[in-house]
Amino acid sequence: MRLEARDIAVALGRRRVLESACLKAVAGELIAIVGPNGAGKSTLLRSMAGLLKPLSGSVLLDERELGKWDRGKLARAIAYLPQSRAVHWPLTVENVVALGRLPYGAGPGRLRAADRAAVEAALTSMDLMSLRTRPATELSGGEVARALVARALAQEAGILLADEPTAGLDPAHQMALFDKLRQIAGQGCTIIVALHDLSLAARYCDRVVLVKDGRTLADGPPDEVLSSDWLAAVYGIEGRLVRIDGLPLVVTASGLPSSAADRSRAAGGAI
Amino acid sequence: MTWEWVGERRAVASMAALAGLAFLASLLMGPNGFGLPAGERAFGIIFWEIRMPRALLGALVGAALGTSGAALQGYLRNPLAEPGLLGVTGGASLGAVIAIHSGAAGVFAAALPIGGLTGAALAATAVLMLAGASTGPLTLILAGVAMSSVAGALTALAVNLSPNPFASVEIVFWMLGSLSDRSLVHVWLAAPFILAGLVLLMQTARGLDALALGEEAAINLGTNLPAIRLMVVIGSALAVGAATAVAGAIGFVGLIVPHLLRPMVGFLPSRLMLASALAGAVLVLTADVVLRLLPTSVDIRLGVATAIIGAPFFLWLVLKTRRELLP
Repeated sequence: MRLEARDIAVALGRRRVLESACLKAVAGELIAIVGPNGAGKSTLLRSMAGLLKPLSGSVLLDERELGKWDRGKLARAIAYLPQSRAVHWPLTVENVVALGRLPYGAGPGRLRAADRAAVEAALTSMDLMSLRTRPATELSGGEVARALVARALAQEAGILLADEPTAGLDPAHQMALFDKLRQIAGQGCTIIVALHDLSLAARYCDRVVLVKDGRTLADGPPDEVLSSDWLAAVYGIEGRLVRIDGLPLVVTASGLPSSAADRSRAAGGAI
Repeated sequence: MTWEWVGERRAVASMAALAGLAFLASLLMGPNGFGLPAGERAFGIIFWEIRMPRALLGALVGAALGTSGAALQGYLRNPLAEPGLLGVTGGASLGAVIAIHSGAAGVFAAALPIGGLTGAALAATAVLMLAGASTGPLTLILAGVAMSSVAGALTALAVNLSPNPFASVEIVFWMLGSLSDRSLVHVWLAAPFILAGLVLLMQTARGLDALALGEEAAINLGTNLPAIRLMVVIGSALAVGAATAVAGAIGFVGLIVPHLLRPMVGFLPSRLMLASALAGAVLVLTADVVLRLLPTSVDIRLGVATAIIGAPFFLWLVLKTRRELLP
């Protein structure tokens, strides 16, 4: 499926968080949205999930505006994983994951064979089999995060939007998660993640989208977008994409003085 | 997953059995202990016109309070929420009190429940308008609390302005809640509203499950949040408003029942609804039977009894929460 944000502006309350954001994703792509805190990454993701209505511009799923989609069809097309990891009742992990089947008319305790298979696959891929009967409220932060990722996976949507899915995960589970995301992207799923870990973005993602001050500044393969010039322009840091044993790694040094950042931005130029 | 499903079935089945027993006990309970009235004519009148309405109302009122409590706690994601929080109970009480105060209740008996129903409807409309378009729980709680205080103030004013001491005693006693001396007219008046309210509340079950993961995840799972909110408020207004209109304000049932049942149904809001309806009926019917058994010279009112059982429960809840918060 194709999901596209076409030059959207979005306000939260009275503050305009997105000024002009464009992002086009086609089937099979794994895309990272990166940028400093408050740049508008989450707002862009929430708008693309249909949770926020743009002031101008439009978000299109298969060339049709999100608002014109039927609620249930949209829920089966786009899975969205919020940044907040709230589980309000002590539901068991498997029931949390089974909530991902609500768009199919199933749910905890009401699973048909296909639903059951989706739940089991999601539990297995997030390494949750041994925790499945534990209350989600008694888990560690990283374990809850994995349970919530599994919920989004169980939704089996063609598009997965995840807001910092790796925050709080240990390195092994971070890699396991991205291996899983790569795998489902290989099956034709479109995945967009908001990320802070630039090395993960460089290693796993097909494209990186840079966001700053509510604008999408750059969009391209990690090697191009995670260049020293762009890192200086967007984050105001010295940084470089290097390869160790063929694996990309973004190394960063101390912050640049702001004048140097301005100079680099001038050098980096517009898209 | 299977064992929990069995668990839910078991919870519902045992609550249904208990509700059946409590209903029977209420029917058999007479002024001189358990037993059926003797004599064919007395049997007809006492059984059908005194005991049956009382048992039916007890079951309906309990189901209304239990289900509304379960839905509200699920919607607000707060185990301390209860139907009174919406201001509907206060509105219904005010409407009924106005009916007593104006003397309309003395002219024809149905005026009192009709006043209560009108009060509940107005209160729910005001709360929905006050809370506005946002879907967050906070505005709804604020609007409900504001509505409750307005209704409470006006009720106090009605008591204050009552033409004679008998009227004020009647108002105060009515507000304490009771199932005694109700007729089939009360049942016919309340039952359609309570049943419609229960149907609406049951529709929210899946949405309440989704809300366990927060509002954004719930929307992503296909939940129509404004519709859920509307169904919770209107369903509660119909069920609890009608219950209050015929039986007075009966507190704590809507708070305790979902709370006690939650662990039995795996904490899932959707599975709590039917079980809470049945357990609410059990609690109200049992309290009513026990009160009739007590050898007191003055009737202890049902609302007083549920409060006396409920308040220590609340204290226990505070202590339990405090223990859980300690490191």
